Amino acid sequence: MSVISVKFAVFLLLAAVLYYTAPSRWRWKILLAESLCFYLICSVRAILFFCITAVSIWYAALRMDRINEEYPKELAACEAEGKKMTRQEKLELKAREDKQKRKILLLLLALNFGILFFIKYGEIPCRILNGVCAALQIGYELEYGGVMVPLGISYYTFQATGYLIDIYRRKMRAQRSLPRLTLFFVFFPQLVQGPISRYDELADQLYRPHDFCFRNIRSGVELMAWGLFKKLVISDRIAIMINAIFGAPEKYGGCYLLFATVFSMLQLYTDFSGGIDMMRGAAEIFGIYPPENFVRPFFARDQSEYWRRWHISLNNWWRDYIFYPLTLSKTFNRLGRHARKLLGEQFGKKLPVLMAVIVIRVINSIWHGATGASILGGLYYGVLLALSFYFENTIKEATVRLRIRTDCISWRIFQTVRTFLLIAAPRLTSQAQSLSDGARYVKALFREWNPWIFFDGSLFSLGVSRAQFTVVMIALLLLFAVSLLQERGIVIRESLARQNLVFQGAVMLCFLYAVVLFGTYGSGYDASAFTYAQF
Amino acid sequence: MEENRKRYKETFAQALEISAEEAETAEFQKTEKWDSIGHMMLIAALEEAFSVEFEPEEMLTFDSFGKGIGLLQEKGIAI
Repeated sequence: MSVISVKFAVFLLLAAVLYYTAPSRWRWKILLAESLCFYLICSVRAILFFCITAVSIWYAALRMDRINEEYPKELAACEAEGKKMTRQEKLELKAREDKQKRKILLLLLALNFGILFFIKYGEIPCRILNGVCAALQIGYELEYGGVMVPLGISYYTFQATGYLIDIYRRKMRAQRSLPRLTLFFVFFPQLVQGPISRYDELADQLYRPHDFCFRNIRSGVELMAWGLFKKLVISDRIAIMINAIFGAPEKYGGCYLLFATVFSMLQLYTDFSGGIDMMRGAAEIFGIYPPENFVRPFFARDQSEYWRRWHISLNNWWRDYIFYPLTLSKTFNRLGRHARKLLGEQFGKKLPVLMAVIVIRVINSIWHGATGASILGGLYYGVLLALSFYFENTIKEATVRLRIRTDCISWRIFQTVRTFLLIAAPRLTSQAQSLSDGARYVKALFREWNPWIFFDGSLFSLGVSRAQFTVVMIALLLLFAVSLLQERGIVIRESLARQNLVFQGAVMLCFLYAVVLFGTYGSGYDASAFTYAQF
Repeated sequence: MEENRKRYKETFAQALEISAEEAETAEFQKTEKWDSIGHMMLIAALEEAFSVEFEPEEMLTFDSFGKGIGLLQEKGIAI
């Protein structure tokens, strides 16, 4: 079921009516039934994979919780006997319990990420095996039949494993009820493309019965309309232009590719954040407020700030569950100590952090697609981020020595534009299927210098007319203005909520009319094609 | 308690390459060596010195010398 469809609108309406008319104590159960219904409609053949994840994580969390309970119990028992444990004894007891839990955790991570890897990248081992067989001239070829990718498998796997790690870290108690935990994994608005919520942030909201509240409905519909605007008016129209250029780099070289690279970044942002806005809006209708996933990333002034603003829930997941443990791990710190001897004190000390940063970005790129071009893109972002960390102080010192004013708007604009361009650069090869394919785009970029295409109307021959191009530009200006106001702390929806109801309704109607009038849809348009829905 | 306090100050100063006096007034992003990388090195050093583990949320709120003492106290270290 596509999110941009009448079917989904009807489903959402029915779901909300059922939810609010049910007795309070049944509401979370209704939400669970609706979410499972949504899952079955979208992904019935893959339900087994979801069941394995839900049941295995539920059971493992309970086991770990029991082990977590033993520590305070043993301490209390000791005190009851009149003995007092030394710090060393306490540490030993804790280490023994951690060892038991670690076994369970590793097994469950292997199982769940194994399923994810098998479904998303099962073809790769087959390709490698066939390549080896061909090289050794063994007449054997393994055929990969393919597996249907379950709806939101990455998102619920990340949520479920994050929950388990939190239990492992004694951050909270395990949820004893399997249906309740299942609702946390399968809550339908966030199943399509995230955000990846944390149990302690979302669970209570899911289980609490929310009474009908007009404010929630209005706020949800407004957010959904804004997401629809980003997706239909901006993203999908830009997609037509950039697909025309990236589809024929032999024909469109030089500044065409420059234009496509920059606009591809804007397209990705409006597509993904538009989708997230729609899903958050749908959740708000039920009185549930999932976390923000984007905080105006193109206003970031350096690399690390950018990654704190972009796909926040995933980047926080990488940070909390991989970056910190890796950076603080004994292996990485041992490597750092060796590097201090070999490469100098300063570099050696920073090495664990720099390595962890690069590893995270490469893993992130593999998650996005295990192609050579994608992994190279991840490596680029990793090295860029590592360099920005490494030279953080040097740059600060240089600006002081060179007497560059850093408290003025021109410096801030320079930093923002620089960050955007460095982040957007790999989009040049975003549609490349391999490294050699990526090289084709780079060659085409430098093949010719044709800046006149920005002025002579050439851009209107890319599947979008002059009028449609103007609509995209005005829509982008509107998005920029709204983002600027939000950057200054103005919450537009709250300002609108302070106006009279008639005015609010008129604004909403005008906005929806504009989306209908200027949006990209109709025959030949695939409304289901959210970039991040494929994960 | 005094011993833990002394160990904390020494570890803090060593990790950030500052003097013990400077350590007491150190603040994240304001003290020269306490940048993003310095922060991770400080966390690693304190985890090793006191056999504790910091939660991601704790790492994010740890932005001054005094905050570190509070976090260690929460972990049962008499400091």
